Amino acid sequence: MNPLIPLFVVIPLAGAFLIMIIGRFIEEFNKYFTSLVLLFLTCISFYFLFTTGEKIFVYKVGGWEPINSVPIGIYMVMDGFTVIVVCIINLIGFLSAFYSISYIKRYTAGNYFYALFCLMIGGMNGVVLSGDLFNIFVFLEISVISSYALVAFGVEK
Amino acid sequence: MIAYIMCFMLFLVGLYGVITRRNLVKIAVSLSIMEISTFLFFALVGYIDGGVAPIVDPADPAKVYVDPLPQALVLTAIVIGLATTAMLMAVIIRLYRKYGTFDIREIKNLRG
Repeated sequence: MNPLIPLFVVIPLAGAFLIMIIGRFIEEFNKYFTSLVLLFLTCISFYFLFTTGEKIFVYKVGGWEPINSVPIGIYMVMDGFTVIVVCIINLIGFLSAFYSISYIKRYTAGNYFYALFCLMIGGMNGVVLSGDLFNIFVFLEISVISSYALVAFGVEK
Repeated sequence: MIAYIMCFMLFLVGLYGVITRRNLVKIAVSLSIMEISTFLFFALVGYIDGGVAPIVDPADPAKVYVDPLPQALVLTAIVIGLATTAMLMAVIIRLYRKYGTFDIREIKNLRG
């Protein structure tokens, strides 16, 4: 039970909602907050990259233990392949969030862009980390719906 | 077996609509029909004649229980399908504001 594993999903989801709420009152909050969130996620993913090795971490959300070796509840699995993909997602996400600080200036509705971006990163981390097909489907839809919105995004000023 | 074939026919109805209609809203409706045929198929796969809800009763081991996973999956998928449809409608409204029409033949910039 490594308590850092669900942070990959929880932090971007919470960040998306925080951006929508606090970004209304504080100008420029969205840009730096998104970069900060993704920088933090990149740091913990690299921490996992150097510590995981051959081990497999399983996080049971809500502490639901298997009954008769049948898994119950939502499991998140971190193994050697997952950790590489999580590193790639978060590093590329951080670089593109950092780049978008100057890029998004000529478009309207920056808050929506950063909230959707955080949701997409959270969904992609969830796809990679989840331990069953059901949650892969749910997280895939989260990331896919927000990327539909991002594709259709952008009215130039 | 006939129910599965009916599901597949419903899917084909949706596919026919997606292929032949020119109106974007009708294409969205056809996509929803395809989606719902898949949900119906999932729910039918999980159906057992005479099965009861899976609350295990140790006193009566002969009971047949229904697997709750397909039903939970379909319930989740219906909610996600609603979000997808709402997203699709939002994109269609944006296209209508830009081009002033629902006809996909008129929306030239989308052609690859």
